[in-house]
Amino acid sequence: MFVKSYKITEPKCFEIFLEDINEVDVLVRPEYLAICKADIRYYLGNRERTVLKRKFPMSLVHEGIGVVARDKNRNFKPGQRVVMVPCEKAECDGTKCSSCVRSYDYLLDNYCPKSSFRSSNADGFSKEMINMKTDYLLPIPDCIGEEAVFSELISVGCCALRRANLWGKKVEEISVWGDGIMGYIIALVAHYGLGAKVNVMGINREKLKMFDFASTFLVNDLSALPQTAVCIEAVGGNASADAINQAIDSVFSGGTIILCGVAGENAPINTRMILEKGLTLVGSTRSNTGDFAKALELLEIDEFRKRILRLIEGVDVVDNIRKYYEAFENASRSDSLGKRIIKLVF
Amino acid sequence: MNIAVILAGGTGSRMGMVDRPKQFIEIYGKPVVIHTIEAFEINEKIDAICVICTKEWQEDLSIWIKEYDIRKVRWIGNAGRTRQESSLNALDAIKDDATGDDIIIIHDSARPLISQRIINENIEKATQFGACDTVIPAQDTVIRSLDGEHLDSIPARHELYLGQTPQSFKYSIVRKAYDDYFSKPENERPVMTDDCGLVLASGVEIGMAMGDKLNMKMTTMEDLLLIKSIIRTSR
Repeated sequence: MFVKSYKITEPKCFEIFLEDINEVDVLVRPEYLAICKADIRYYLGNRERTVLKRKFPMSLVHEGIGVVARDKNRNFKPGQRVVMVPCEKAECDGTKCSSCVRSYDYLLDNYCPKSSFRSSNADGFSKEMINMKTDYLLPIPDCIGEEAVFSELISVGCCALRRANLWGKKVEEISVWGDGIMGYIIALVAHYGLGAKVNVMGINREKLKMFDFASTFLVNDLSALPQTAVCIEAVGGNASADAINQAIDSVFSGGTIILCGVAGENAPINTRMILEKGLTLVGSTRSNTGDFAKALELLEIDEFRKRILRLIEGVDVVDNIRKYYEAFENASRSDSLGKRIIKLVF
Repeated sequence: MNIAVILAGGTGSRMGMVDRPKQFIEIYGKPVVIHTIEAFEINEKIDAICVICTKEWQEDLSIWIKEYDIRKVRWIGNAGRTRQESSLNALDAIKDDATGDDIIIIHDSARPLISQRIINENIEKATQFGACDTVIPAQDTVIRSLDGEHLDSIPARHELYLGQTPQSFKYSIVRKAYDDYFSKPENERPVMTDDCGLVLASGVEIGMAMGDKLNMKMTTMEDLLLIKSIIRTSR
């Protein structure tokens, strides 16, 4: 069937593509999308030229929810709202290759180098219809609205806690570095998912006001910050190193630091103190379907959902390519905690 | 209930092909009419589909419907001698199942690039107004000539739109318009090229849904070439 999509062909240049696609399992109409920093990097061309050349043309956006148009196997009903999981496990014949991750069950699908991730090495959700495998779709409970578009970010938070084996454990207190959207969501997941008291470190007083469920601190004054057994870095960029070093200073000996931010360059961190304190550092950014399911569970909690809803700064109906450009321009200029989300209409 | 009617009864004489009408030509291994039906099949607001085609192609059509796992086609009706007769046959085919407020979305089978937005906007506008035409603003200046040799007038472009399909109606409205039209003796029926003309003649207000340049009609071989050239294979 013929399906339209928007694809980036070079930085700041989108084209309309019309493709003949073959149905796999479930046809889903992407409905609400959110643009993330990785999409903006492609849009602005902030990746190596050769990387961009290899990936383009490509449909962007990997945070999205959709509506089932048709399911060959009738697991989903037409019209059913679903979260679309952007990663897809590679077909594996069971033979171990040199980069096989099957032995590490905590890594799962998303760490296999042959797996695909939408808007990275496979087309994203900026399409009229998308072919999805049943395993990568989750029904959205009725009590959850378009805020489910943040499931991907919430799932990354859930994944961070899973990777540190924190689910089901009693965790008194967690410290989170980062006053951006990822810090906000991870802090929420820690608070409502684990019942932990959360400390949040940031640099922007206005943004920190949004963290009204947590104790907040400016990073230049952490004298009152209590030590915790678990620290999470959700800063990324060039400030990653400072955040990680502060976490190293404030975590208990034997504690865990979860790294969730993508550093701009190689981050110089205090490895001497890591050794002295016997710390564990866990890298976690890639979630899987189980983490998405956990994200939906959390979204069913009223208070959690209301605080996620605050992140939606508006809904832009994108029914032509000009509006699609506008959405990317606005997202690339935005410095706020939340996002405007896209209602995609082809 | 929202019922799509796909008119596939044309002979496609302008295509020049002798063995099949244009709607049965294959594009990338699939007949045009199936591409068109699929656009309605995957729209969650469409409940059922009626396809109108000539008797000699109905068996092929049934085979394709099975082959491509099309599930919403509930009726296959006979094509008439004219577009109006084909539409009437469709309305007769669905009459036992359709109620007055059901929306009937009538579409040319030779427009396979219809978007989901156009279908949805048709349903919305037909529900609101009772009738809806799909249009795009005229971008070129339109010239009126009565004899084909001399220019008579240049209508104001901002008032002009080009009609596409679908054209959508509440069943009661389109039914009445067709019954009135066919109650007249054949030689007294005005010449109509589409369903909206007929409904407009019956005094019904018709809303407009915005079409799309890509929702082009495959009429000539050049159109087929254009359609094939803008479709890319997915990766």
